[in-house]
Amino acid sequence: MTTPTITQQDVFAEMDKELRRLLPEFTGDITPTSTFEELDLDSLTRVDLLAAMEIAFDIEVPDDEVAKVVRVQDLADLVLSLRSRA
Amino acid sequence: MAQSYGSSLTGIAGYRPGQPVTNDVLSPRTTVAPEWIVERTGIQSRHHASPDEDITTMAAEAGRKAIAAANLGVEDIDLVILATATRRQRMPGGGPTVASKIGLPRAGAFDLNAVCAGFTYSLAMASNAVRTGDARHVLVIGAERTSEWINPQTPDTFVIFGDGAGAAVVSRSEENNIGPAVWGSDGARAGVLGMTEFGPGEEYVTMDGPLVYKWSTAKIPPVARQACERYGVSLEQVDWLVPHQANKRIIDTLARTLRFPDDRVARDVVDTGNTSAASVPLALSRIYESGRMSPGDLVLLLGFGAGLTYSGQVIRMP
Repeated sequence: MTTPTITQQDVFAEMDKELRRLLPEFTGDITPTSTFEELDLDSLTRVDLLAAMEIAFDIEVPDDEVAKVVRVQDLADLVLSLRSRA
Repeated sequence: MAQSYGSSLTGIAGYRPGQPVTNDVLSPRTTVAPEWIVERTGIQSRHHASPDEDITTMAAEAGRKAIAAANLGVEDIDLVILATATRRQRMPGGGPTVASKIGLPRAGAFDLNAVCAGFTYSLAMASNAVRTGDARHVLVIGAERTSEWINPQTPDTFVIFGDGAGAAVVSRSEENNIGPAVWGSDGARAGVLGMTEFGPGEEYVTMDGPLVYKWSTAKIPPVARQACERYGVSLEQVDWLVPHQANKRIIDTLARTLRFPDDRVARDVVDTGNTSAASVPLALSRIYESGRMSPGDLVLLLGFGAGLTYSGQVIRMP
């Protein structure tokens, strides 16, 4: 059975949904170049976002990648990369 | 033929040294504001032991109270297990000194280092000792002096750790009121949390907070469910959740993931800080002494932390 293909758009859509769940008072735009610091996500809430993406896309983020994810695009790239290895 | 018995927790007590050290007092000594401490950790205050309150002193205080709470005398205790990771003196272990300070005439004694999971590991060892007949009553103590090992230059550890001791008596009984332990470890992640040497005589606790948070919030919920299953109960039947008091963010996420009623979750960390092996018995004793528990209440205990290591079990309160 092949792993279903996901697109970058799929990942952005899921990330937008999860970010707004984690930041219920945030009403601004979330773009690929948005940094999680600009979005006011502290390091632990960033882990909550990673955990949500792990569940949504059936991936596991390696420990050495956690600190490298600073922008929305970084996380999208990581999710797509991990999915391609699955 | 070897006889086997049941095991029960018959006494629980805690000891917090000195006066609370608030965030307003601690903040000027490090590089973060009081507001940062609360937002990041949920901690409002913690206790730091005075120079003459070493681990064995605190452990003996808690131990005496637990023995009294169990309505036992010093001659009844056959074994002392001291769970600790912050004793500066490596040899001998602290357990025999604790037994001597309390005045236990016949107790065996040893130390157990599983850091933040130390108490729950020790509880399992105590339960096994009484169930096999090796002991009638075991005194289990988690005691830590983490304030000796924190660096003001690293606020993520400096502000969370505190000192204290919690003790429990485990006794032989007809019923099995201490469930089987579900335990494990991940030594490949040993570098995520532990003591680091910065120079001669300069050793401090260092931690990768996000990685500790990631591991614990993913790993511990299945452990919780397994511990319930092994005791033959569902999570919904458990009355209280007492996880290691690492920080409030981890506790909140665990409780949310397990969908556990919020008012039944121990959050002793708010004014006790993270006391490593002492955290679970301190949190348990606080709830018990508040009068909020009923006899026979089921409690899910979860220890986890440096190692990385974890263990959990369900117990039935007296």
